[in-house]
Amino acid sequence: MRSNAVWRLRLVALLMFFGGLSLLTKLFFVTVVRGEYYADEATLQVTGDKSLFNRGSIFFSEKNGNLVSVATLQNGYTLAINPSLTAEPEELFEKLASLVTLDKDIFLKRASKKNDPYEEIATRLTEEQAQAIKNLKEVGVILIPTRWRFYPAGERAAQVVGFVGYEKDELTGLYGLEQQYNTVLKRRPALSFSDFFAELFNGVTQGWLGGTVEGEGDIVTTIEPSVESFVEGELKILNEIWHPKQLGAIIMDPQTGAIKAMASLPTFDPGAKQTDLSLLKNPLVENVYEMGSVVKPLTIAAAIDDGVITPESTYNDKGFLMFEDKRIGNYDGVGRGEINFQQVLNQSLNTGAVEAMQRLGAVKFQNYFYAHGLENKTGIDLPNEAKGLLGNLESGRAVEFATASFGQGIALSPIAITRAFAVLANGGYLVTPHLAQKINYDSQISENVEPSRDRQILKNETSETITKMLVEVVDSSLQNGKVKNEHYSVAAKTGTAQLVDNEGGGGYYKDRFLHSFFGYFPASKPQFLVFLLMVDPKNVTYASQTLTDPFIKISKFLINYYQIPPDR
Amino acid sequence: MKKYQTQTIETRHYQLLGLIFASIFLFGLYLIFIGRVVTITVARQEALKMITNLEPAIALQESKYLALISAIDPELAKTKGFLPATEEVIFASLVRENLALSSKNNEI
Repeated sequence: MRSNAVWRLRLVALLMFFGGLSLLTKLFFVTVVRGEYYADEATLQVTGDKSLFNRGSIFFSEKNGNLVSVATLQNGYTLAINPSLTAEPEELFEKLASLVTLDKDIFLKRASKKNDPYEEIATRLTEEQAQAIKNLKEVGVILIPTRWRFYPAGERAAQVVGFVGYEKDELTGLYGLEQQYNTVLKRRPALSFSDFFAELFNGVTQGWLGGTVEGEGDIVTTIEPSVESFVEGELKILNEIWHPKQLGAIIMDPQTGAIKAMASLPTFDPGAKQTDLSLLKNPLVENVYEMGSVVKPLTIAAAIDDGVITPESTYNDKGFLMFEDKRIGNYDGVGRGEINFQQVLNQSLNTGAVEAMQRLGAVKFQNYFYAHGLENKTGIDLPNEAKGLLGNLESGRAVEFATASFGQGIALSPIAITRAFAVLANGGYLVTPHLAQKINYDSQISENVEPSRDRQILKNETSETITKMLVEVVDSSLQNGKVKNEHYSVAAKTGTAQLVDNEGGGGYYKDRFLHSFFGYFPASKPQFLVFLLMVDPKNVTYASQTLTDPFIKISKFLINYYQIPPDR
Repeated sequence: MKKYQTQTIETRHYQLLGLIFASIFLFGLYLIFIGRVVTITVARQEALKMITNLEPAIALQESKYLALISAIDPELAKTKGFLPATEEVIFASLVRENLALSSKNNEI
C-alpha cells in the first residue's frame, strides 16, 4: 500500500517535472531559437517588410546646443505589381501614372512578364501617394513599406557626412562620418524580446557563446549648420566668379580642434545615386597640395621660437638667392635692401623666408615642421586621411629646404596645415581636429569627445609674437590696410603657389595657381580659424585678389553670429 | 501499524495537494507572463507604427529648417533692422587701472 502511494507520488512529480521542462523548452525555442523569425513575422504584420533598414543618426549642433539631423531615416513605400494578376496593364498604368511618375515603356515591359509574381515599379513613395494607390483598390498592385537613409541637409557638408551604400550585399557607411562611425551607426536586426524568459535566455546564451555587444548610437558633430551654410554660400559665389577646379574651406576652433564647418566644391548629393566617384572623397582631408606662402608664418615662427630672429631683425634682400644653378626670387624679383621680418610677412618675400630658415638651420627647421605633425595624419575622425609629403626635407639639398621655407616642394593636406596654424593661434599647442562632439549611445549613455592638446611645440611668447605680426599683415598690408577692422584684431596670411605641371614632365605651370588663405580672430584669444583653398582659379594670379573678401565676409559673419566682443 | 499507515497517507495527501497548488500557481504565473508578452508586443507595435509615421515628418521638417537657416545672412538681418557688431558698434570704455575688483598696487 505504502509502496503504491510512493510510486504514484513519484509519477505525479515526474510528470509535473517533465511538463514544466517541456514548457520551458518550448519557451526557449519560441523566444530564442526562433525568436528572430517570430519577431520578423510580428514586424511584418505592422510594416509588411522583413528587413526594414535601421541605422543611427548624425547630427549637426547649433550654437545653442540644438541638434539638427543631417543623416536620418525616411519611411515610405515601394510600388510593385503582380503581372499575373494584372489584366489591363495600359489602364493600370494610366491610373498609377496620375499619382506617381512612371515610364510607360518600362511599366508595360514589366507588366508583360505574366509568369513573374513580382515586378518593382517605383520606390520611395510617400504615405500620401501610397494611400492614393490603395484607394484605387486595383488587383495585382503591391505596396511594401520601406525605410531608407535620408539626408535632410542635401549636399551640405556631403563630403564630411558621406553616405550609405551597398558593400557586397550589405548596406554600410561609405565615405565620411558614415564610414568612420559605421560600427556605432549600424544596427543589428532587432530581436523583439519583450518578455522575461527571452531576456533571461538571451543573456544566458550570450554569456555561453561569449557574444559581445558593441555600442550602437548616434553621432553629434561639432558642425554648426548656419556656419556651414554661410561658408558653402561663399564658396558658391567664388565658384561663379573664378571657375576654379576645386574650392574648400575649414573653420576650426583653434583652442580645441573642433571643426565648425568643412566644405568643398564640387560636391555631391548623398541621397542620390552616385555616378562620379571623384566627387566622393574629401579633398580637405584626402588630398595634399603645395600650399605656397601660407607656410611662411610657420617658418618665421620656428625661427622666432629658436631665438634666431625677432620681428625687427633685418636682412639684406637682393630680390633673389642662388642655390647652385637654381634661382629663388621674390614674386616680383625686386630686392628691398635692408628690411625686417615683419615686412617679410607683409610683402610675402620668399628671400626672407629662406633667410629665416637659414638662420634657424636645416635640421632645426626640419624638426619644427615635423613637430607640427605635417608629415603625419592629424587623427581627424574621417577616413582615408592623407599624410603630408615632406620627402624634400630628407634630401639634404639646400635648395629643397629653401623652397620648403615658403611652401613649395612640400605637399600638405589642408587639414594638416590648418592644425599647424592653430598652433600659432592657441599658444603653441598641437590639437587634434575632430568632428564628433558626442556619441549618444542607445543605452542612454553619452560619451563626450574631450578636446586634446597633445603637446606644446611653440612657446607662448612665440605664439603671441607671430600673431601680432599676422595682425599687422591684415592692418597694414592686406589690400593696403583697407580691410582692417577697428575693433577686432584679425591675424591672417595669403598664399599663392604655382601648380605642379603633371602633364609636362615636372616643373610648374606659369599661369595656373593654387590660392590659399588662413586667418584667425579675435587675435587676443582666437575663437575661430578660417582656412580657404582654391585650386586653379581662372584669369587671376594672387590669392589676395580672390580670397580676401570671402575671408572678411566669413569673419564678420562669425563675429556677429557668435556675438564675439571686440578686443581692441 | 494501521495508525502509522493512515498518518503517512495523510502526509502524502498534503504533499500532493501542495504540489497541485504549486503547479496551479506556476501555471498562473506562466499565463501572466504570456499575457504580459502579448501586451508588450502589441504596445511595441503601436509605438513602432507611431514612430514610423512621425519619422518622415520630422525628417522633412528638419530639411525645411536647414533650408530656411541657410537663407539667413547678414543682408537679410540688415533688412530686419539688425546692426552688424563689426561696423555699427558703440563702446563703453573702462580704464583698467580704475577697476574696483583689481587688487593691483594695493598694500595688504
